[in-house]
Amino acid sequence: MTSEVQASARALDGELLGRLDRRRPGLFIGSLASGALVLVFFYCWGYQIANGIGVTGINRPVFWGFYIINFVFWIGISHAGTLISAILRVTKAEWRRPVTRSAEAITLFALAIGGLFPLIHLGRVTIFYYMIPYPNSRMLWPNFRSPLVWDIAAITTYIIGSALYLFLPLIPDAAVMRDRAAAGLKKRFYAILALGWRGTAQQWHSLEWGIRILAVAIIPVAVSVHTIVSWDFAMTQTPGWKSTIFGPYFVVGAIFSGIAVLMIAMALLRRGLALERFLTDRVFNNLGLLFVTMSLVWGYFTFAEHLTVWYSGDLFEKNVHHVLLHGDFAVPFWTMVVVNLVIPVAVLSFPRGRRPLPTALVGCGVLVGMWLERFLIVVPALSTPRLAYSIGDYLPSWVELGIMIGAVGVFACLYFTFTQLLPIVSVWEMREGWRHAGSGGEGGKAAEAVPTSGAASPVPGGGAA
Amino acid sequence: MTAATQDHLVEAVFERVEDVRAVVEAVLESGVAASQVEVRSPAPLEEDELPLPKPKSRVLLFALAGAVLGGLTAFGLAAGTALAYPLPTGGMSIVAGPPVGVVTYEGTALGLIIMTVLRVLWEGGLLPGRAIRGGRGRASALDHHVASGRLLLRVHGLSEEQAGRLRGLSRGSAVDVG
Amino acid sequence: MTRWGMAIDLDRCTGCEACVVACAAENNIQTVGEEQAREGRAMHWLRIERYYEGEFPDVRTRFMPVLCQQCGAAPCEPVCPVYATYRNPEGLNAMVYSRCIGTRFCANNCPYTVRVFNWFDAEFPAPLDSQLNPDVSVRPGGVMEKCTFCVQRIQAGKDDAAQEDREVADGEIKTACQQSCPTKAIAFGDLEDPDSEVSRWAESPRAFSLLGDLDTRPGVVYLSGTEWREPAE
Repeated sequence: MTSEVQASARALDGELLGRLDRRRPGLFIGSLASGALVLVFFYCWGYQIANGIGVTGINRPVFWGFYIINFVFWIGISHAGTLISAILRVTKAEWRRPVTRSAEAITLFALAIGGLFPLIHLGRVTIFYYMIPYPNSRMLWPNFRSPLVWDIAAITTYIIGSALYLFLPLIPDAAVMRDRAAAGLKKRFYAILALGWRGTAQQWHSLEWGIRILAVAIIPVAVSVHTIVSWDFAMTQTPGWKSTIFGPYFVVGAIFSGIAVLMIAMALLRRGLALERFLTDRVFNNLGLLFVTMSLVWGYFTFAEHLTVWYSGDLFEKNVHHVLLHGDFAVPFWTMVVVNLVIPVAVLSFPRGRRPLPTALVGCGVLVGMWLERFLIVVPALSTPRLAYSIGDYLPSWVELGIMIGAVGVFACLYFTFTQLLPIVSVWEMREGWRHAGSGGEGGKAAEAVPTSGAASPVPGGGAA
Repeated sequence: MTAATQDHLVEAVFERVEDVRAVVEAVLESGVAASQVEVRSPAPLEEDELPLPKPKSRVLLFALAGAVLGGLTAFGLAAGTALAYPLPTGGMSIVAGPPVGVVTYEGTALGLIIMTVLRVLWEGGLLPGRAIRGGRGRASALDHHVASGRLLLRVHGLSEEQAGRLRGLSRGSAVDVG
Repeated sequence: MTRWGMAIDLDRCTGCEACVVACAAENNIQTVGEEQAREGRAMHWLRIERYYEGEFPDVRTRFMPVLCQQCGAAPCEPVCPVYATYRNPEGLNAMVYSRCIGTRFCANNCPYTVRVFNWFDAEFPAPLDSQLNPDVSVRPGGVMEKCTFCVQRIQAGKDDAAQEDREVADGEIKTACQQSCPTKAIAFGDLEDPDSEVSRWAESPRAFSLLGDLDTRPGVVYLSGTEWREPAE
């Protein structure tokens, strides 16, 4: 290791710790503002439990509404982290290092919220546990043939898996926080999280094995989760839902919306915590390429789905297809196509479009578009049943809107709190990257991890490779 | 505490791995066993960076065992419970293959993930009530150096004379010696 | 074995809706009021679908009573996570209200859209509570329900027959809709018994199943002399 590179790494090290130590008032205000929305969330849910599920706008035939739309939406967002971080880890992409932690945290919090929506949606949430397999007095177990029970199995696995996948690489960083904190409550908190981590060779060795295995194991879990969510629809006989493409279509859509949130979160983190030297332009460029790829794949799947329906001429399928493309739902449908396909491809195809601000703005559009996609999957199919006598429509009530907005607040509150308490950029993984770059053993690939060649020259966002 | 006891602990903080390597080599040459040497680092070290035996890990084995265990449990739940209380299904099968497969798949993954993490924690002495022998893994007054990106060398079970020699040896390159 | 079934002669149906009223009275069905009904929350287990054919003034109205088809291969059953709806040994798609947690998955998977949901707790302000049928439970809010083929009447008929140590005779058990139909357009009985009235109706060349190509094997058979175009759009 040359002393120059080493000095550079030390300086970066100090800078990163300094950035993470600094408490930003913006974060605190953000926590408070989103905390207010948390109250809205729980007020609306409490109101619904007290008065009955009828306070929503759902009806016959649209038995599923905003709650299921938001369920699919949030589960989709949760694919940001774990899946992307796992793929980057497995492929040993060096530019993953500053990204993984913030992505994994998105997963955990989005999943916690997404997992709540099916419960909010229940007619009798007080007995939701009937769906959980546990020995009861009559030994009558859940119906494992129901896709909803698969959902429970998949989401339980995913939420435990991604919590552990976030936690495992966090242990060494919790130890860093512990050892840097002054004695007191704060130190105790980090000490509990660090579990007595000291950084011995055995601990590192076991941890690396663990992360390696989890990264491989979590990918098929993430794929299965959104496939199973899609099967809530695709397993039915309902026209507009019964489709073999739904599994991969949902997985692609999930990754797509997940990257959108990741782009927004990273642009905000980069600016808010002044992490330009760690979340470099190179990281945004690479994620932007992944983003536009997913946009194209999504567009292809959407086209394939609608083309087959249109060409088949199936009467009932065509009714749904018609309201989507030309009927009551045409405006949201074509809006979705524009923000999910036209704009991302137009912007992200150019290197200039793959900078933090444009990618974050495209990400906002994609979030709207992917929400609309889920709306267009749930509502038109239900409001256009086979027997034309039952055709209906759907408008959400204030309770549903309140819970939807409140859920965003819950997410923001959790994310702000996490960012305040723990390093949002993995300190030890950055250090490992700098070490690789210093030893030169990994060649050009490892050099990506050191953002600037000289520590003293503060090139903002300099991505020298 | 008498001078004859072999319970002295020497700690030294280094900036560079090369310096740790030099000191560790000298310590091993002086007859101290490799098992007495503990190095705490802020990030994982490469296998060949220090002349110490490679740590062993059975995480993969336990992960696979967890997968089998989780898979069997899920299979038992999905297939067994349906058989234990066979409700009339109107001609549909009581135990259907694909749903059992889906649930088993998730159970397999869950078992694998949980066992992996438990084994990682166990091997690292991170589970409550499991300390690593020989005072390894105890908190040190110098841990904050590791948090700041330096390396901490700890040599356990030294005689007073050995400890003195090691301290002298370290002074040249170490940032801090305790 | 018994397989309860129903046959409805559309050529006899006048669309008077007496069956709808009888069903509500028999089964303690919640009355939701104008506002809720406008939102699509009317709770009828049995509805008369009206379709118009032709151009004014030469318009013809068709009526079709639609109720739970008690499918032999019911799409609603496998999707329920808690076995709240299941197929009973006599061919009924039974609802266990106490197990229902209100996922409403069954209703989404019903091609006939005949399942109705209790959006709120039922209210029967006095004196309406005195006209409740004591043989039928009042369902709480958040629970799915649908036509049961008047399972309480089936049970009572079987009890009576068992008391007298005999088989249930054909036509002995009448559903509320059947009983109230002024044109006798509804037959009810055991489809496994080839001599029963419902079986004879079902053998008619005029017989067809609603959305029959889905192969849900309905327990309700419709009879119509003119070709019944499946309603589109």
